[in-house]
Amino acid sequence: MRTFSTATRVLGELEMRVMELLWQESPISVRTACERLGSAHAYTTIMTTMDRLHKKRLLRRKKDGNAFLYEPAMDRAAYQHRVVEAALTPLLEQGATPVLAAFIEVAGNLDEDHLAELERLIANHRRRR
Amino acid sequence: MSLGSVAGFALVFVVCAWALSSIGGLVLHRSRRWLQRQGPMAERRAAEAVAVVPVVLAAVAVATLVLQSALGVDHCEAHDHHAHLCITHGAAWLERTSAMVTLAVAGAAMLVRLVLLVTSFARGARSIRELHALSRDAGDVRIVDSDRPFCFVAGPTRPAIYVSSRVWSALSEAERSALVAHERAHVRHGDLYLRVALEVFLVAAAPLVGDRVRAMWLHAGERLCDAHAATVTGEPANVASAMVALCRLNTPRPVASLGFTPTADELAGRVQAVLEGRPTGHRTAARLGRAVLTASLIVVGATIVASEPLHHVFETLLG
Repeated sequence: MRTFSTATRVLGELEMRVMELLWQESPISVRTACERLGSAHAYTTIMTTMDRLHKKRLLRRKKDGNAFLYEPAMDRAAYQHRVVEAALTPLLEQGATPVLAAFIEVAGNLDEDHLAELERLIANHRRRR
Repeated sequence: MSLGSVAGFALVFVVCAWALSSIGGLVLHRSRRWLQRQGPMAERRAAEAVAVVPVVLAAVAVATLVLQSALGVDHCEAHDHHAHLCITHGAAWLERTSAMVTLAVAGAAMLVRLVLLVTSFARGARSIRELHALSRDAGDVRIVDSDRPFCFVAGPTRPAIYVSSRVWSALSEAERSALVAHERAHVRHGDLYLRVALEVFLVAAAPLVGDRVRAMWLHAGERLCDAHAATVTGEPANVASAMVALCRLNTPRPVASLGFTPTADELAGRVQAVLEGRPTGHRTAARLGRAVLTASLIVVGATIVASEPLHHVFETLLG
């Protein structure tokens, strides 16, 4: 079973081109995808790429005669949201923080009164200057 | 060198490093209010000293013992009531249960820390690469389309400032400038590299000391960057207001363990420090650095001069 993070890792260049194509036009077969993407890639390369995207749960497929028809499992916005979340989670929640320096951590224990008091302090400072 | 000898010298390193870092942690705790009054640079220097000095002195102690043994001035012939710290007669260390248990516990703790550190670096570096690909260049910063409130600088070779679209759109132009100036100060101070070095030294720190040292270092670093941003932008209020604005963007899922977790008091302390233009403590930090260096050199000299009795003390206590 693939985990959420491996399934939503940033895609390679060809994978991304295939996803872009399918967000514009779907469902399509591997052959149609090959035609749309031009002759730069072999049929088997596109087939492998689409199969990989299916295994990553980014594409759905259904049988159509001898071939598969592929369509995106999520729209572009949902994909973007998931992949950003997958990249952020290790940094913000899983302790991979030694690689970064944050401006401020947004904590849940700061109440409205405290924030309002600080804003008054800042406003007073601005007035004095 | 036999396995027993290696175990003996490793035990000396662990015991020295933990004992010295425990003392350092205690001193840091007792002097925290004084350090706070001096300024963040002084706090930072003190935290760095507590992280680095115990490891260096422990390494010097071991190196002295190894050298003494290599030069043939150890006293294996004279004492047979304890295990010997020498490169040829160390087998008895493996038979000392208490010594081996101490070494095993400390070694396991250090190994676990090291593995966690390497894992978090690898995971973090991969996430940053992905975030770089997913973010868009907006001049000074890279905008990440996310409704989470965050802003940080990351990237070991090409540091970049990553800001969530939510934060970027919520801040005023002046607050954005303050935020960028703060993050650039992290790059200018070399915080990303210093953090790596600090974490490596803290692998050998005594239990609980590492967390205290890290927290002080991070908190002081943020206040230093606040002060730098206030100087660069010429308007401390913008730095303070950017901090408060970011805290206002709180979500039901708070961002955990980023840098440090500001309590209400800590946030207020940071805001007040930047508004009042409190001293950064560079002068005290320089004095502190010189004092620590001098003291360390004296200890190193004393270790070398008194290597013979020290050798016997370690053998008697540990073996």
